Amino acid sequence: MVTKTEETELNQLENQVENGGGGVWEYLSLVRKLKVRRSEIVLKHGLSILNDPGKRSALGPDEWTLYEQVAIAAMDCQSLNVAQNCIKVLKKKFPESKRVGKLEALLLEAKGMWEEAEKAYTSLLEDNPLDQVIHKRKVAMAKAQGKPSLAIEHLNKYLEVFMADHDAWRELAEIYVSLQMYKQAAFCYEELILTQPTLPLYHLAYADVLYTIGGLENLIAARKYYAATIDLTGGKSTRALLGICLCGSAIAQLSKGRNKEDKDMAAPELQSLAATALEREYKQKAPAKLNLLSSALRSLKISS
Amino acid sequence: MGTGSNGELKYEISQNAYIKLVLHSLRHKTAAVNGVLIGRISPKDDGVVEISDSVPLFHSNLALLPPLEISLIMIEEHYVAQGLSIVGYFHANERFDDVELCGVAKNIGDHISRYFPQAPILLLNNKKLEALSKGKERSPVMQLCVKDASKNWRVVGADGGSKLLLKEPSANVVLSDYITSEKWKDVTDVDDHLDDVTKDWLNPGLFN
Amino acid sequence: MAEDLVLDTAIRDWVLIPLSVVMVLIGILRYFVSKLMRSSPTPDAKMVKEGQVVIRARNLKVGANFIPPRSFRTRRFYFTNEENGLLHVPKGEATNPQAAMFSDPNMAMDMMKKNLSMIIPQTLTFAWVNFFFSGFVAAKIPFPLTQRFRSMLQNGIDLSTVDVSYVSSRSWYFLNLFGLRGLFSLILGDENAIDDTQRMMQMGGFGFDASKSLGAEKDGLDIIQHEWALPRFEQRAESVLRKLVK
Repeated sequence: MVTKTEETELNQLENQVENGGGGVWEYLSLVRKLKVRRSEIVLKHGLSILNDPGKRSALGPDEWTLYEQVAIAAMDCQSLNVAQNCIKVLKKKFPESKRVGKLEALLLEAKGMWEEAEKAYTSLLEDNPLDQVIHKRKVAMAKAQGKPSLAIEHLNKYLEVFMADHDAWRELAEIYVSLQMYKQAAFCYEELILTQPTLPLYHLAYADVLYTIGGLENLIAARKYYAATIDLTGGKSTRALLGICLCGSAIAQLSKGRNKEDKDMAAPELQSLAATALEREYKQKAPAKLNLLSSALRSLKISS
Repeated sequence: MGTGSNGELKYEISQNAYIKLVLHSLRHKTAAVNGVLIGRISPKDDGVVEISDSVPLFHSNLALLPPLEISLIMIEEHYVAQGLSIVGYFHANERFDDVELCGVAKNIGDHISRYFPQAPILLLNNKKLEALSKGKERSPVMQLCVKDASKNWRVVGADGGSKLLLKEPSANVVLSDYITSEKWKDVTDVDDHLDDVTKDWLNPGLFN
Repeated sequence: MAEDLVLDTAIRDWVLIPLSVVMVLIGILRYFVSKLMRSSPTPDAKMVKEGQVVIRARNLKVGANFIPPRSFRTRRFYFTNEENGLLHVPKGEATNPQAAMFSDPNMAMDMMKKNLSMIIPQTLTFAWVNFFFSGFVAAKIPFPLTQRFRSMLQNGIDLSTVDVSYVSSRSWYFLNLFGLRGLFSLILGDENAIDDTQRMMQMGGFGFDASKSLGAEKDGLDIIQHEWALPRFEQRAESVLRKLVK
């Protein structure tokens, strides 16, 4: 995950690079380190280095890393010829390399030659059955072909071995959500909460999923996880505050006529506090939307 | 107006509503995005639904209910004063060559049609969008889907989308202008707004 | 009894410095040779999985209170049930690491390569030093030492009358052999700082560790008392918000 400071550093460098202020190599290295997706800029500036023999040879052995980076960026931008040329250079330099083999398979993927790519990956897996990148590529390929259920199958198989890989759990959760398989998604988010119990992001996502599943018990649980998000973010999360209000109104509707004594059911204090916090936030930051928010909250029967 | 007359209904989308949605999907090229259509039944001719505005909604986890509910409430509240309401749903798939309407889109469409029975779903057609920069595509780059008598969503296809009209015929020209000037970078959706409330999903400065 | 010996500067130029330089060069050479010979370790799927299971079980133990009770119970059952729980190691199947080492020729081969790259250059240099420089007093350290250090510093000189602060050439060789590690880690980067003996111990210890920690994690999970932390968070959120809106 990219932190705030890293992101500002990256954006600063990007601005500098885009305005011709130099520091291209530093920018490219940072993109690699943070594993962010800025393919168009990487392609543009990486290629300008590669096309300049002086600059290129000044990199020393990093030259080959740059070829790899540019090749991947080019594939992302559908500049397949550029990618092909980069891979050709690398192939010449490292004829036996598995890493170049992966790039070649990736190129097949970019061309949409799914079967050939599949074959290439399978043969690469024979050499090293535990290559995580290739397993993940297979998932991505299934997704790209519009076969989410196959992607889920691959991911589950991958997670059987690499069950501590939270990125994979997250991907699985998102696929499940997109297929509206909320119960399964909830399981994945539980797993993510376990890996990083103090990260508000997962609490929020879990709460959203629980709310979407619905039912009194889930709504009450969702409210608790929204509360956790609020606690962990210091009350800064608009989504969680709104979530509390939504939960409150939904719970009130569902529990109509039931025993109101149940202390778990209603949390009027939390709701009104959340509403006040929201109104305060909007007043400070988006006064034009304050009326809108107030009437929205009124329609949820929360605010006065 | 019953479902029977649905077949003759025409949808007329204004340039701003149209461009906003397409730019939104361009901003998040690698993800599925959605939005809602704002408008009313034309006072002059009740066979026409005027889509006068649009609000870009989300670009991540479209299938989660809480953000959707809250945004629909807020949007309704905002437009009710102008006599407009939510009249349809816009969806752009994650993959380029995916022309199917996914379950999420259908469900949200169903939800909207509960309040506005003639509500259509507009699905972005990537092929047409790509052709826009090259040729002289005059018809909208979206596909119209409506509910048929048996409550299933179906694409109103073959007859060239004549049921979905651009109010201003120049809309596609303006759109390709905006695309080349990378105007899509300025679009904000409700997702952005929920992360940072200072960002306005009405996109007031977009067309200046 | 100790009279000052005057060391010829030629000894410095022709023994002390060449010896040190040769030792450094051989160290670097050895590093590259062993790098060439080291086959990249291909981990075994079972071992990787066991490691991952342990991490996940540990996460469950630490974060248990953050997920609802029912979710916790199903997970615990998944990990610890006696039939096919992930942490359940059937008796007798616990692998003996030493047996595994001998049954896997690659492992033995690896160790042999490592030993070869260590022993051969050492014997060669030792022979070389012995042949050319035996019996030299090569240097003098600037502080006095007790008699105990004689065997360490004056290896190869059988004179009991020489002051202990004089260092024989053979001892200089040994001092270099053991003392240059810090220099190497400066020259070759930190990777080299772990010396071979340590690496060997890690290798041997790893396989053993995994199956044993499976059992330990299972016991840990079994005794854990689940107490859902989330209800408390509602109060905490209330107090956070109260502070915020005030």
